[in-house]
Amino acid sequence: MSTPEATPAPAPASGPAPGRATAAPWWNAFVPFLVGLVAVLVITFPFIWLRFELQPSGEVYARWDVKGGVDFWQNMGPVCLIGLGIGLLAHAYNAWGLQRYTDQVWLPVKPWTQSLYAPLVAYAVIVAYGFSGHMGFALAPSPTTLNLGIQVGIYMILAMGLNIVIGYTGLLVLGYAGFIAIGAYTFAILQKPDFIPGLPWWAGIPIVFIVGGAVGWLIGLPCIRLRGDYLAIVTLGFAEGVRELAINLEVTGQTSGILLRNASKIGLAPDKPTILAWVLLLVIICAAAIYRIYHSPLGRAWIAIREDEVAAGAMGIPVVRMKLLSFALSSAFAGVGGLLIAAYTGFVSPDVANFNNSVTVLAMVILGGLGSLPGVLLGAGILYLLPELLRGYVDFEYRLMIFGALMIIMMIYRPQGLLGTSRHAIELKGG
Amino acid sequence: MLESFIKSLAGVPWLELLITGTVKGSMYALIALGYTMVYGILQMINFANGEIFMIGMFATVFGIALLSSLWGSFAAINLILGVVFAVILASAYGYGSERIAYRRLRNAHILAPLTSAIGLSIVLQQFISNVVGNQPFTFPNYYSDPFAWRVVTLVQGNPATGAGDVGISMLQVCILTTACLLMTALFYMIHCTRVGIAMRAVSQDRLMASLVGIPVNHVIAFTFIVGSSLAAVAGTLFSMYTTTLTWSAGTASGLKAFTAAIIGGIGNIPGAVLGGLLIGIIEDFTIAILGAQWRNVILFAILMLTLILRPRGLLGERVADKV
Repeated sequence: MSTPEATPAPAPASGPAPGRATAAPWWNAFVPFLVGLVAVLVITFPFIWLRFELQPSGEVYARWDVKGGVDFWQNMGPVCLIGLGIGLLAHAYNAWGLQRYTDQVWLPVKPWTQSLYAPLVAYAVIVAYGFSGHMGFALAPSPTTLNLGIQVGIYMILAMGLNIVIGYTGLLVLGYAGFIAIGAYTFAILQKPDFIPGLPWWAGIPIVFIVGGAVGWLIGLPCIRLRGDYLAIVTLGFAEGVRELAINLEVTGQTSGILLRNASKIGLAPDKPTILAWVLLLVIICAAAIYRIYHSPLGRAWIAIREDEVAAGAMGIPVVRMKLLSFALSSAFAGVGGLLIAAYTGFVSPDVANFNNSVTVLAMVILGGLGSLPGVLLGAGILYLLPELLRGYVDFEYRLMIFGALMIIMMIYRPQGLLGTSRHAIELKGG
Repeated sequence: MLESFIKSLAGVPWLELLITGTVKGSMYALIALGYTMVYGILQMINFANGEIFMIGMFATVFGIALLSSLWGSFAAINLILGVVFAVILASAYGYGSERIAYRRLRNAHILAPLTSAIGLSIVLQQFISNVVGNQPFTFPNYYSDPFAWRVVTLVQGNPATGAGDVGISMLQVCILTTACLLMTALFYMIHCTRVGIAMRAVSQDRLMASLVGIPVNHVIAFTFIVGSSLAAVAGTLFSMYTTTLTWSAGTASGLKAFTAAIIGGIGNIPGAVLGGLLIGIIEDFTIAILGAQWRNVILFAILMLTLILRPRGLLGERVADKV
């Protein structure tokens, strides 16, 4: 029992009134994080700090592996910093009201031809910079830089294609690499001497576009009526199936793949600036096409389906046909990207259909912004250059782990991606 | 072409394939149960379940190694405690994944938890491949050899060399027994205990369940823990049976188990068991008739056929496109 002096009856200033919650101390917000951190450290402990050693007798013993553990955390240091940076960026967006400006910039109400000025100027500058080496400019890009630029361009096309189905229609596709492989192999087989010897790469684009779209349509047909997760699994299985078919079939060259003939490669000569100019031109064409589709009744139908499938159907939108169309279109762009990969590297192997490839493109779309064209381009740029920048500090093998962690972080803190619009955020976060 | 195919059909040791397929299928069924339970309760695919299976594999060996260093190689005790260690660790991973990656996305658009799940499965898989090593390991045969003897011989082959014998080994008996026991326990738990009733209530209507006082968060966490434990046991059995442990086993077996769950009807627990057995048997027959390199192609064909002909699965009553 407390004495009357200790608890004066109504004392608004001194202590908390009975029945009212005490003001939480400032560190309370960090308690769940700390508990989680400790829990993660505990459950990952045996894998990080221990090794098991098999004896010839078949017994197994454990030993400390301090070097391996230190090595792991050294690699994780920059990774954690990047995660923290992205988390802070997302926090800044939400806390400082930066989202308002993003919405204003990316939801333009102006003729589409005006939106084309900035990309065209950027294109001219980049291509001029690429060619500046020919004119003896001292700061001209090295072949490595040009190579990076070309790869980023190809991945931008792939990411824009995946964005159609994930960002616009709201369906998850996990086996995008399967469609990339379809495009690459179609082109590689067509340019063989038995078919159309010396088929130039630009002539292959419409063929690959149609073949990719048709394959996507066929694969989507049985599962697009079902819930979104079925499409994810079916495409995942599809990519695995394509990889195994490519390994087994005679026509795809089995494990050794197909070597492209000279005429089918981009540029004919190792002239990197020309290739860069072509690839970036294709990026602009694809972006303009997708932009036009997005702002047409077709694009609005996709968004309506994403926001509420039942309501969209009630408004007279043919839901299944529209979903199928977006899926087919996305795989058609995957085919074009696959063709570019094949024509640029001059070689197609079953590795094109690897799961890693799907994950890379998916992470680009999610980081940059679901359903946001500039966001997706930014995402492709960041995620292709990030591993290159980290090359000295982090083992290349940790790249995929970063991508996976990025997906979780983005989905929890900023589901619409870096350059996404607030409209999409509300929808993804749900009620 | 066709003739050689028919010839190869005639030489198929169907009884042996049926036995090995059933054994493999019972392990796939254990993984598929984890998928189907989480789907039933959250209407969401927990992609990370396959990776938890893989973590269970490695955790068993780590547990055995720790105990051997601690008090020496006692085969039976170390093995059993190793499995217990794996179950505890895998449950922790399962609970952690629910807490970190899924709980905050429970009311979000379906895309958000799916993406988070795929991200989590990549993180777990790459974590093991980077930390433990990306070459395949062998299961310590000191602990699996005591199970290698044959219990019954069903078909006597060549008596001199023993070629062509078909029998059931102790390991196969143990795997089937463990799988049957675990499944029976699961059925009992779901149908006859308070937790099971709560789980069914949450899967029917989460809001209503919370209104009648069911601790929904705890029930969902418990579901994840049960699914992860089943996957961890399956991981131990699988690594003993195939004698190899790799970081990529989670994705490979996870895809098969998921197909099994769809074939049986996702969200349906007896369906997952039936689908697992079917997938195991079909896989072994495919390997024997067409060759191992075709198994994923056949798997994908089965998945597509199921989705075209019977999207609810063989036993599914749940409407597949419930929005």
